[in-house]
Amino acid sequence: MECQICKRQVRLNSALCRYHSLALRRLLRRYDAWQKAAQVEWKEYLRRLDSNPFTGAWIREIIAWSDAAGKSQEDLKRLANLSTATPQDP
Amino acid sequence: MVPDRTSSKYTFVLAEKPQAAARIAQALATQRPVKKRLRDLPYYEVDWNGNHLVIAPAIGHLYGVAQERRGSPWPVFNVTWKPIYEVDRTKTRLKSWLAALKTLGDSAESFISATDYDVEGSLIAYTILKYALNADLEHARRVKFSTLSRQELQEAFLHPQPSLDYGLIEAGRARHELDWLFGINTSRALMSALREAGLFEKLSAGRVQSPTLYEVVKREAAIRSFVPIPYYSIMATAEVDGAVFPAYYEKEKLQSLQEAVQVVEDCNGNFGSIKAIHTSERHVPPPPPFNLGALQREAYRHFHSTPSRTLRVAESLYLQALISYPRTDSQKLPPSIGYHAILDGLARSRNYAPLIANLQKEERTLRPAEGERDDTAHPAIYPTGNLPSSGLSNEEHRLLDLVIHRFLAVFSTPYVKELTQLTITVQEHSFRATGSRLLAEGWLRYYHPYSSIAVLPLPPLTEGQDVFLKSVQYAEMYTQPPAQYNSSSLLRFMERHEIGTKATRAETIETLQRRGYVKGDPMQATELGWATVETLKRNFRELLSVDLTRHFEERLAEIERGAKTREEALQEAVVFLKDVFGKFAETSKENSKELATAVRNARRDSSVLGSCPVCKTGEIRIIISGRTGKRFAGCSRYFDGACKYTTPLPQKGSVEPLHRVCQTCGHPTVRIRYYRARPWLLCINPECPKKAGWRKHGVSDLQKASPA
Repeated sequence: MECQICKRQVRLNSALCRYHSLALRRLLRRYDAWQKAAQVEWKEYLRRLDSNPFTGAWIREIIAWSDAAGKSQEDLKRLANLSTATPQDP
Repeated sequence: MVPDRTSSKYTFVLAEKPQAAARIAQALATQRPVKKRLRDLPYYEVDWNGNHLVIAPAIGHLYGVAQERRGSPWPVFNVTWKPIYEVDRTKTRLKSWLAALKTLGDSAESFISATDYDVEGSLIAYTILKYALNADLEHARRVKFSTLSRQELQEAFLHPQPSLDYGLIEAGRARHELDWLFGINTSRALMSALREAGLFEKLSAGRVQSPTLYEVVKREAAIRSFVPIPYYSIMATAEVDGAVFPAYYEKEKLQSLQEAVQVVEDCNGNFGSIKAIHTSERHVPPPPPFNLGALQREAYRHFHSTPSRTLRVAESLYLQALISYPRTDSQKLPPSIGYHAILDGLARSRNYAPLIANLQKEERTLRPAEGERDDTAHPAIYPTGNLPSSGLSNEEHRLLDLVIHRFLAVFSTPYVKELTQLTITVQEHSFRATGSRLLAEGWLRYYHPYSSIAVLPLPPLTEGQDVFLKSVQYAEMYTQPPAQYNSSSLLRFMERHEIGTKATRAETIETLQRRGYVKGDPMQATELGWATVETLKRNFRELLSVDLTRHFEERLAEIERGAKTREEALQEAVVFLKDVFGKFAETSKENSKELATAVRNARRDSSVLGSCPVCKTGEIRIIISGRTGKRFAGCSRYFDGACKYTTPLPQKGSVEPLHRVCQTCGHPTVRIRYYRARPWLLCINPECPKKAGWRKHGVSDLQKASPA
């Protein structure tokens, strides 16, 4: 199987490679801090991240991919839970 | 031809480099030394202290580690030392050099090792004396010096050490053999995995290189997966009796917008009062003298000179007897180097005379500031007090200037800064303001222009005084990702984790760039770098750990101290490697697929310069002509017949796509790299208006390019 974003090899039945899985988990986890700080909705969160110069490249790729594939926050959460990548950084 | 007096008894002195041999000969000769040549090898004959000396140079390492039998399958664990021209095919010209040394050494009565006093220098002399000259090592002597100044060299030759420095030699042998065992086996493992996919590419891994690459990759991963989080900071403009100054809210980071808006509403345009004023003095002592790492970092900061370049320039200054030996860890300057004599020497330059006069007036007793690091072999880097006799290059000149200013600064006093901190209260909120002024310039005066401090005076204020908060505003800020590594910060990482040596760290960084594992500065891991780390992580995870590297560094230090033997360390490495390589074959298919994809992409990346400026649909690629073997750039749609665009490229050096277009004409730009020279940026368009001036001076486009 290949990562749906970068075509890297993925292990088992994951849709994303370990790098994009890591990025996805971070994207989901940081939403709480954004909500507390700026009270933004999920879509607005993604929009603002996409236009922020400090946002990482993999995060942007996740945003673009989820937008193109019409993935909701719930879809992404399910995907993150299904991901088989190891939790540590590369 | 053998020297005239080889029939009589003479002592063979081995220097590390030709320039060092010349310096030694000049220092010891009462008259002008006699320079001779045997094939390519220059050497000198000198009468010194009743002995006839033949002084000949090595030219770096003339022996290297190799496997015992060529073509053995990996893993290989049998190592031997062979002449460098057999190990490295690019060094065949050293065959005659080594033969000439052998001829000179054959009739020598005794031997003195006068190479640089460190692990590498001692090893260079040992391997040549042992393998090439077949010398009586029991009676070989060693001279120790830290500068190539006449006085120090004469002192060193008057009192040579009675034997070779076997602690350093054994540690050096062990380091080379360990690095070879780790490097050759892991590199071959990577390349054999790639070969399974039908590709060939020179890939390398190693005990020091791999953890360093892994660190760059980890940093890159942290940056690529970074999610910035907003926070809010509040700044006020405070006014007292018409004077304004900035003040900051007591909490530097507010986590919510709501809270920030509330503070602004409560405080903007209101009066507060000064609750407390606290004044303190900060004494900042002079920095310690330079060791190699600090010099490389400072040179990067001020001149953007890479660590390897700084080392080369520093070595050149050392060989000209202008600074002491640069490959040192020490931050100490013992009185034996002769502080006053150095200052007197430097005072002959009108650039430094006023500073030195001032320093000698201020400091009756010279006592340098020192750091904690020490190096048993050499003191910190210091100027010898000699002034350059002929023109130095710009790079040499500015590095020497930096070393001299640092040397002067370490003898000076701390600079003193007065800090004033005050608190302004408005309702239940507090703001802080900080002012500073310089009370005593201290060492900053001597280290100018390489240091500067910001001062921000506050108006005269008293406690209880009313303050008008003219404007209070919040700013939305974001947490930021860690910075990418650059040559300097990566060097600091290696130093902090004690991986590699002061002499090899810069070279390791250069190797990562040369192999295409990282690119740019700040550094970005390439896809090949990622894939290599992935493969290593799957198969040789321990090799990526700084712990393993550090463990063997400790072993090497123990060997140097005589607490362990070289054989024990090697045995330990072999047991470890055998275990690791046993597992490699199991994941071979996975390794080869991932590496092959990365290599193909890397090749593609390095040959595509950008989109075609003519047809706008094709890609400009680097093409090697099958007929002439020459390199040029052309549109990928040439073979469709859709676009005929081609343009010449320089035939020498490497061409690196910048993936940027020329601001003037819109054609792709490239970076041209020549060996050990500054890279050049070049627009590939020969008709680019920026190049109009070149043609006027009759310079071909491809001979001249704008400096990077």
